[in-house]
Amino acid sequence: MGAAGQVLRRGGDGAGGRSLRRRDALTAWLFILPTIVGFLAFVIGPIVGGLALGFMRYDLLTPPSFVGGENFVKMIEDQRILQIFGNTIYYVVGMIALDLVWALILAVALNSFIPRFFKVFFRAVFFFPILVSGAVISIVWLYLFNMDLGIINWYLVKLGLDRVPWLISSDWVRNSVIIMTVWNGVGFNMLLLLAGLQNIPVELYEAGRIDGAGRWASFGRITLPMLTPVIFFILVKGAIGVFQLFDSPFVLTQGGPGDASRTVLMYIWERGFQVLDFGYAAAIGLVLFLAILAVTAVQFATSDRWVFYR
Amino acid sequence: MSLSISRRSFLKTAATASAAGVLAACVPAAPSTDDGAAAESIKIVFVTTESSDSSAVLYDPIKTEFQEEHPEIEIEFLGVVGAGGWGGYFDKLSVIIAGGETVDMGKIPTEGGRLAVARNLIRPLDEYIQATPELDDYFNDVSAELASVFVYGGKTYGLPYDYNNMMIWFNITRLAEEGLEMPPEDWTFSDFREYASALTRKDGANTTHYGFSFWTAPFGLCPWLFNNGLEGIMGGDDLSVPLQGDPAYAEVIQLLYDMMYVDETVPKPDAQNTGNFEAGTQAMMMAGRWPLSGFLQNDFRDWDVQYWPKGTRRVTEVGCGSWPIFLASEHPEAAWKFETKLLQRDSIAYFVSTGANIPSLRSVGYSEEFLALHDRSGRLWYESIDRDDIPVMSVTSPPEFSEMEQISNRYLSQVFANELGIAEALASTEQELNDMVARRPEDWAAKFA
Repeated sequence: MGAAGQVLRRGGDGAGGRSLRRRDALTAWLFILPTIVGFLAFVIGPIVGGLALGFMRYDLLTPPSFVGGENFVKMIEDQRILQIFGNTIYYVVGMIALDLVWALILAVALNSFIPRFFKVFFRAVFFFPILVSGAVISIVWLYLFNMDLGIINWYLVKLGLDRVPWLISSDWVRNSVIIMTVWNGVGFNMLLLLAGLQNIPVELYEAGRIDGAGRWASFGRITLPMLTPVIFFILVKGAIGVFQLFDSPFVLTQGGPGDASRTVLMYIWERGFQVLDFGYAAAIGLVLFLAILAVTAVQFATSDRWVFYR
Repeated sequence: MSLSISRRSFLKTAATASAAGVLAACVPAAPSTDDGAAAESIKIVFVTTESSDSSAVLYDPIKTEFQEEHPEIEIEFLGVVGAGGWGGYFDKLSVIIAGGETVDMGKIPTEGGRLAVARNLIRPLDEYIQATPELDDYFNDVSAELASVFVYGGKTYGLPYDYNNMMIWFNITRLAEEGLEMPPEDWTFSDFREYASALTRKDGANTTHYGFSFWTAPFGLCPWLFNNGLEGIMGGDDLSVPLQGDPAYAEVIQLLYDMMYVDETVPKPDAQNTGNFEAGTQAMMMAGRWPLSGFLQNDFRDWDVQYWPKGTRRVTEVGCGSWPIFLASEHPEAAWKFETKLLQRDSIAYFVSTGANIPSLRSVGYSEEFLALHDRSGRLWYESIDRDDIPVMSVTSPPEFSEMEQISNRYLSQVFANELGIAEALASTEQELNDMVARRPEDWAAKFA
């Protein structure tokens, strides 16, 4: 009998052995009890409470009353909800696509044969915005995007181009939010992709060169497939995060003009904390949760067709 | 005897202790059994718009004096800060109270008065006022216009300690550069529009200096509406009648729209107001007295103020600050004692010296100390509410102030983005405000009758 078997059978199968195993199990439960209590109190509890609230009428200052599916009927009749969900999906697609492409370009550039000093410098430069508060960044970009007095339009006019109504045009405002949010967060995904690039075995590229693969073939046949696990992670995490986008459009545009840049989470906040209709806000939250769940499930279900794990 | 302990034993003990700690934290604290000492010490929780630490510093001189007179009463400040203006403040305050936090008194402006009354958050003060001769000087000194701001349904829920109005500020350097003098106090909307044009400069396709900029939150929209003959965004004794259908309302929005898109004297609505004014790239701005503290800090003194231009009449808009006592307070008498202290002349004069609002007391508003803070036109601030020929009106503040603000802003933002016609925007605003009023509980009307 090996050492492990001896350990497992320590105390034997008799009463002494069972008592020891019970004590070991109790110790294990005691270790994880704080985490369980915290998880129940701060994660499961609010989720269940939120789900229940979706079937209630509650204005915070009077007791909640059960109203069945009234909030969901209200959602169907809500003339604003479609545009707001549409904005959110636009942000998900736009931000993830732009972020992924830009982060990949940066990561490939930083992984190339440039002096180490410049690698370290540019890595820090592109990562730095993540360290700054989103609200602060939004305020700075508010000045940059200003149509009449902002510096971006100032130089566009100097170049003979027309001013862009970055924040006051329904056609442009979502793109402005995307530009700012991607600029803010691209550094994190750049680091993930850079780590992925540095973990690709060099032998694969050598084998490719032997077989006559050029730079682009190497990128398409070796680099991208080897990066698919990281890309998958970025897509899943990114979608979950952008579906819950709040701070940047809140500070930058307050959801305007009209509802042109309003996200679902902003609308939940408005209905809950401005209109004090917490039941309806919770119902919208439930629908958002189901939407995120559905998208994530589809991503996982289709991942085995394109994600390559070594 | 060996004092060593096995790793297993240590880890078991640590796990047990941490689990015990978690379970203990879930048990509510037992009530104090020391009734003798606890009963004599009263804690008043005071809600403010500054952070708790900043409030402690700001109120410290008054609190120190008060606690020397009343050592049994302790004052604790609870700061409610963050984004969202007054609407955001009320939202957070409602959440705090609904969450069971005990608060005794706090800062509530005009914008939140009806909300607080409708939702039974604050108590009438009439009995306390009648029993407090120390407030005789206050009532002899406060403007009658301000004293009635927090009177709802015949009951007094707050006593103003300060207020702000809305004036037109002029960058006098820009005026001089264009060879202009300050306009007379009875200038009109047309005069104002001409001034904005004269003060706007272009450099090719770029505008280098704007004449004016505006913002359309309720406190910024109401002075235009008041001076064009309207009651505000909503009217009626209980503020249940949206006024967007009145032609005078559309006239005001059309004026602002034309200044932006026809005259091009106003930047697009995402412009920053005070900074551009101070930098000289914007010659006029609309504000109360609140920019003054920032200007003094930056040693910017090239400004003057004038009354709001006249549409069909002249009106001064006000928004007041008060410190109501919450219904949930377990120590209203103690809270009232502190409020009485806060409403003394010395206290009000102190607050005005530290901030950028206008004192509610006439003697302070015309005092040498107050006027000395201004290089020019210092008397205009209090005079604006002290004239028989200029009525005073409060900013539109229904119980659903946050929602009204959100509805109004949502449609006006589309108008000034040139994406929605004025008539359609105002019709939609009126419809949504009517829906908002229709959801009011039936008992609200009686509270404001």
